[in-house]
Amino acid sequence: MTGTSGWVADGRTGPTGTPLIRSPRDLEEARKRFLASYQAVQKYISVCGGTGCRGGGCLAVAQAIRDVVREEGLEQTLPVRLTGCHGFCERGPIVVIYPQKIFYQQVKPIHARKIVTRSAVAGEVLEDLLYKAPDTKEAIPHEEDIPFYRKQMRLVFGRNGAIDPENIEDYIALGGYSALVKALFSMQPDEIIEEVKRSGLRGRGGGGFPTGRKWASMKKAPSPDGRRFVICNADEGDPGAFMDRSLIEGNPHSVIEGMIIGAYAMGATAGYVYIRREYPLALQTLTTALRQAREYGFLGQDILGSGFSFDIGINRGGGAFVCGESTALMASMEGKVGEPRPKYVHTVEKGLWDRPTCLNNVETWANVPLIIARGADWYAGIGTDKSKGTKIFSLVGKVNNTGLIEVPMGITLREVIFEIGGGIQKGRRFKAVQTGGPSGGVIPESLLDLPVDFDRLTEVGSMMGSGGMIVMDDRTCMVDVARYFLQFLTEESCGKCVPCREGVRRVKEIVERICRGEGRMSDLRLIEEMAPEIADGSLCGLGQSAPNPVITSIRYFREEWEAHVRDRKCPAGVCKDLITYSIDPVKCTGCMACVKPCPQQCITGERKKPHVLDASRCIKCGACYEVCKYDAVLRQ
Amino acid sequence: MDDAKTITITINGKQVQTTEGRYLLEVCRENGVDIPTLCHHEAVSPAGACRLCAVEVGDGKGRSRIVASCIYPCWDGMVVETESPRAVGVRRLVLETLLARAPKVPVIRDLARRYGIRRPRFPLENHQCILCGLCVRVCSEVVGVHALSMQGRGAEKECGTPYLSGESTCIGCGACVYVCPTECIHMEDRDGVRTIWHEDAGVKTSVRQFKLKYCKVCGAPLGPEYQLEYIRKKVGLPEDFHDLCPGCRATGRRVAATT
Ligand SMILES: Cc1cc2nc3c(=O)[nH]c(=O)nc-3n(C[C@H](O)[C@H](O)[C@H](O)COP(=O)(O)O)c2cc1C
Ligand code: SF4
Ligand code: SF4
Ligand code: FES
Repeated sequence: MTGTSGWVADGRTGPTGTPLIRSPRDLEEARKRFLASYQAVQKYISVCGGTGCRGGGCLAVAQAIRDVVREEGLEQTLPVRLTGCHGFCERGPIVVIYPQKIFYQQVKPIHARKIVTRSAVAGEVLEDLLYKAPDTKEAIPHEEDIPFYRKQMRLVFGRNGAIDPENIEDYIALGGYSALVKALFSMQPDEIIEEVKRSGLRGRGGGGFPTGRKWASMKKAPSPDGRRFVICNADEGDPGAFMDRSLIEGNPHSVIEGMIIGAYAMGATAGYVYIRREYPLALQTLTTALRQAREYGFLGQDILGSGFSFDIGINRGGGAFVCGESTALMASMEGKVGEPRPKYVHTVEKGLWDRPTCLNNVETWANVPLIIARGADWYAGIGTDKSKGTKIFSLVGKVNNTGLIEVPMGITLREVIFEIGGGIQKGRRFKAVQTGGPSGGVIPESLLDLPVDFDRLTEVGSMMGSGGMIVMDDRTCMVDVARYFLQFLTEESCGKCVPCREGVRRVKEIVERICRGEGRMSDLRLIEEMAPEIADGSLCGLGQSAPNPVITSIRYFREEWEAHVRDRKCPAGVCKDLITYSIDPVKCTGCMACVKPCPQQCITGERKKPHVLDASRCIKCGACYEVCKYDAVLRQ
Repeated sequence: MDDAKTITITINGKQVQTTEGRYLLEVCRENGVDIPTLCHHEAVSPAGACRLCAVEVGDGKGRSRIVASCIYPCWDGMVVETESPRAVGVRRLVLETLLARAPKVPVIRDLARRYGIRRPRFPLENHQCILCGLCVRVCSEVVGVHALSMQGRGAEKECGTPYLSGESTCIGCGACVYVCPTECIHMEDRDGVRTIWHEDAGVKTSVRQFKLKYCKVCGAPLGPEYQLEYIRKKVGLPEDFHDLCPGCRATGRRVAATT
């Protein structure tokens, strides 16, 4: 092993005993055995162990199910498996009964007994735990028939629900590491790079840079002492995004396999996963997976007898959003302040410790084994002209179905929001969708038929980013949305360069003023003037893309901005300084529902008589507005 | 670079020859093209932080981008416009926001006036430090003691000794005082003591005091004791080397030679 630069990563002790698998033939034999034992168990209960479901109490559910299994004396015949995230976290905890694949959602420990005895043993389908179509109320027993999954194409996520992420044998049983064998034994390094180029894969971490081209430049770059690195970016700093975490937690070996293939193709001597601090479960899963990969012979000296040696260490993130930026990430790995530096000399030439370094996102790496196993032509057949394959999105906000979705590039925003997402909550109106994380743009209803791909999103002023998708309804104020993202970006700016540190906070101040009803028409012109200058002048991607949310908001929702500035009104009723609450005496039935929730006790009146709201004491919390069933509380 | 390649680049319409990989700012200045800078100094490595040195670089085929010239390496055939509307736009943004941050600082006022900015369109603050980082770089790269760093991030960023306390490895040399473009690091020698501090928005931080050493013969000030010791040890000079000023040391040598 070369290239640890004096620091030894977590768990990196090198091979202790001889690895279990030492040749492609060993692997094929092992696969047969693992598959046989994987398939021997036809009947089992799988419980989703993703972070979303853990928050919902899936571990308690799994425990309760195991307890019942034990009490019923079924330990030998009915195993309980904990799997990776299914994506439909909003409906968690999720339990699936095999082999019939009955999909139960929102399961609680008290359901354990009937799941075991009535469903798994007796074969009954428990209606009350099935997912119900929101429109027809029809109960749907199988995952693939649920609208949330029907339009998805789960290539990268595909095996998440089928394998135990803590058990490498599951991954091997289902074909894992066969792409590595193909790469090591029947492809030249340059052929692999060519294959990745032809597949059209582009980076999933935000920029969408063609992966094959990056690999080719890295391959060409000389290293003074021969050390060359590959890094997996698992920093995932976007608030609300958790696709990378779910991939590592659900199918860590797909990422590891991708990294080994890439390292072989580019001649890397060491690899690192830079993982976000706040991800303890992912860290644990990854540590286990790396240890198993070493024990089985996929990492370490002379991998599978190919003569290629390589290992992967773990590095824990610096904690700031900007640490996900490539140069800041590498500075942080070197123990320096996690600040970006200009990239006029690319990191593929001088990256970590000034050595050639290829940084790719988790999802990018996870695509690699698929491309090598099934071929570039197959991969390039999915998606649009310049964006190939699938993309995982974190669909959140005011849609009915939230969660992680994987869709082919080119699907329209309308399909994502109205079919997979099931439309807007409470039947309200769609207003905008924000894509690309905190510095993406907002996209209005008129562009809902836009195909989702890198270039089309950029054309309309937003971006793919890492795959955040926040859906907003008609109660969202677009000025307030711009203010929110500007605030986030001001706080996360590293402060090194002036356009971002000083420029973004000044734009934020102006927008805050507009939200307070103190805006001027010249403010809008000033923001529009500053935006391209901030984008042009900033050192790194954070500042360069920081104007996107505010600029797209002004571009697509100008009337709303003008209402704030000219009429001092917030049409969506969000900006507190611009709204007042009152009670419509005609509509008010005197039900008294609003009296108690008001923290200021400023609503008075007798039962069955119109109530009165004392606006002078109102703090505009909106509690009365939320509870009134008769739309009698007016927000103006 | 061992195999330095001569290349031709175009600066504001004029072709000039230079070596591949050299920083664009240097090449522009050598050719009489003035580009303003704030975070640049020949003695330290470029950081590309202030972005005042922004210029527009194109490939001559219609594609162009804005770069920080102080840290941008030259390549053959590049076409540089130092006063293009986009470049000037960035410079004006930098100067207008810095003037709002530090409205009393002469160097900022002068530069802003040069670009036609008298009153920023933003509320004024009373900083002096513009966080250019020159003091930090000179301390670590030239002096070699890493006594200064940037603290915090974003709008809350501050510059000074760790935790802005007086605790640090500072040797009292004053290199940062010399290099600071806005004169917000102060140094005062009084009553045998040197004091160095950073002052921003009326707040003094990173205050450090050093006992001064004087020549045993003529009484001329020699510098902070701590710094003299640091240099003596680094260079391996005799223990009594700093007892005398250079003049008295020379006289002493002459006396010794004649007796
Ligand atoms: C402010 C900022 C934050 C970023 N955060 C991440 C991140 O959390 N994860 C990631 O993969 N890429 C992130 N990136 C993008 C990386 O700089 C880099 O482009 C990416 O990891 C390259 O991998 P890819 O080519 O596979 O996309 C960020 C970029 C910026 C400017
Ligand atoms: S653009 Fe922002 S985050 Fe990036 S280097 Fe400049 S100040 Fe730091
Ligand atoms: S103290 Fe002076 S040199 Fe140091 S960062 Fe502030 S302005 Fe720059
Ligand atoms: S002088 Fe180039 S960025 Fe400051």
